[in-house]
Amino acid sequence: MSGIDNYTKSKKLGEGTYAVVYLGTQISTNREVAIKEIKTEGFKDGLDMSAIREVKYLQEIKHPNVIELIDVFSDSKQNLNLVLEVLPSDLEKILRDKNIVIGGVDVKRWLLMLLRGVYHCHRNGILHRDLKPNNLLMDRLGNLKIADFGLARCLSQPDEKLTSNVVTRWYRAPELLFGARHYTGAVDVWAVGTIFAEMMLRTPYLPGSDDANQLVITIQALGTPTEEMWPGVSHLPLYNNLTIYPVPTRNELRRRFAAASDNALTLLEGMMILNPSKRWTCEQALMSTYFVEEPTP
Amino acid sequence: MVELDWDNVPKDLCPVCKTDKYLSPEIQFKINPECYHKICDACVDRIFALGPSPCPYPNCDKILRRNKFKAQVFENLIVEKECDIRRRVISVYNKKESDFQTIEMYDKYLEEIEDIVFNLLNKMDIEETENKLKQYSIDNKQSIELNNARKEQEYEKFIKLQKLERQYKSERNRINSEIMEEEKNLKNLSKVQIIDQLQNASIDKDPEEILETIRNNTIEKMNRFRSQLDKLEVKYRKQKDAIKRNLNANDIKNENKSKIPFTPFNGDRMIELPFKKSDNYRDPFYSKLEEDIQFIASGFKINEFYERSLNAAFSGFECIISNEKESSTVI
Repeated sequence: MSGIDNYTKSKKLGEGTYAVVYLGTQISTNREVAIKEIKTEGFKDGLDMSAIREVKYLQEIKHPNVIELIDVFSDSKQNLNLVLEVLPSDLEKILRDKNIVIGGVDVKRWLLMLLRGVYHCHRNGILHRDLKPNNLLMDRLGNLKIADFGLARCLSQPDEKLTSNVVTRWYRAPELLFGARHYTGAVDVWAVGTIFAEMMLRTPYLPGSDDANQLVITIQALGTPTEEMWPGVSHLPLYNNLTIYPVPTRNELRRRFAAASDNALTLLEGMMILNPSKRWTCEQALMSTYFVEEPTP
Repeated sequence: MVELDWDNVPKDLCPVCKTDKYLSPEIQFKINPECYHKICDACVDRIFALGPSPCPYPNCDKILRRNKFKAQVFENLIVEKECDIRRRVISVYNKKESDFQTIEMYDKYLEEIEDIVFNLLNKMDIEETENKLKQYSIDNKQSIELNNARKEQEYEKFIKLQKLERQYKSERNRINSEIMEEEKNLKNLSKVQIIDQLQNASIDKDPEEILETIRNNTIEKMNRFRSQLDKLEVKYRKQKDAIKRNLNANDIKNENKSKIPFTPFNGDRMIELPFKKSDNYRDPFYSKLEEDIQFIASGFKINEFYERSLNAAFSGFECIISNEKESSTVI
């Protein structure tokens, strides 16, 4: 049994601009699933781009820290349906709920799972390009899974230009803010870094009110990139004369993240190096001593 | 009327309302850690009812609040003051001997605590010392919280042990008194019995033998109580150990955990690539990109591209699609 006959839809869980999510059951295994029905009405050019991207990349990736795409089928109304695993919570909800106490171990565990998932995407040549707490779902056992591959893309030929208008603003890397067109996995690492900071602070680390303000906040927090530390930065399309802010010293960071250990700060600094070619890769981040020190994840 | 000497207030007199212990024995003195001037309870309520007010002592301009007043524990105010300061310092400097590698380091740490207490008590370099204290509490925020939690746990353990000991002691006393009671009974009973039996004794029964059986009886009963006591002792020991172990359970768990080696990649990582990578590939088109400032500034690395391409080419080698099709679900 496959396709539409294998699933029942029961409750509506939520609705977005381009999809409705239902709770359902896979009849053959009696497993609970989430069914994402992509709306086709209203799109005269056919399917929405992000739906195609989501299917394309999710069926490539199978990893404990990436949401599982169980099946895809089209129903009687010719709507595309994605069958995904049920993940009841997300990181944003957890961080905002002040009744939940988050310890150092939790942060470490989540960061580890996030990095493992991102590492898996990157080694398969896939950029997620929209990492944020809202897109990091949690299952009932507390496992973190990366979801929403609507903005993901494959790294292909180097001469192709990529759009710099990706990633939710607060998690956008500096090279994207400067309008770079040939960025790499480093943009995802930056997002992971800001999420790490957000997990420790429990409030967004760099909440810009608009794109220009985002850049100002970013350089206020992490210093202004100079040609010296980031060769070529002034040639990027959106680079204008910037106020020079100093790069924060270790002590300033320590004051900002009072509960963080030195290893945690080294990792954070590594993931938030302004120059994308010097920024740590997922591999480097996973090898950080932060994960080996007490408390162990 | 004799003017009161404010610098040397009599022991049992409230300098504000002039009530003394002789006439009103229920008077209670309170002090405020701001200035350590003693005032009676009624005056505290009256003067500070409407919020913070200055200290009623002349030449003391400290503004005091009612909720900071506390009962005086020590008669000597200097001792009282030192205890307060010490309590404050210790709440921040709360490491234990086991936290240090050598005894010398621990001694140094204690010395530091004493220095701070001494400085604060004698008002020497107050600002500098306060800053030091504050800096230490910021630097060691995490370990301070941890140590406080540990202290609380230890206190809990102590309370539990104390309760257990009390239970054990009362139980032991009960059994002991029972033994004594029984002994007394037996003595009386045996006297009666001996006389009884000796009276009815026939010639073939040896009085020695009768006495022997009775003595055996007594000893047997005593032994029964003794063994009961032993059992109680064993039970108490066990429970005590259990409480001690229970609170160390966290440590044991940690030991077990560390036996599983930590793998950052969850074992899912290809350290050795299936191909040999050269540092330099000649590609007339892509090599140009290495010098393009737009590419450099975006963080693009040509080697990453080569590696990715090779990876894509090689990673299909060990996949047999027909096998995968059979085993996997429909996608």
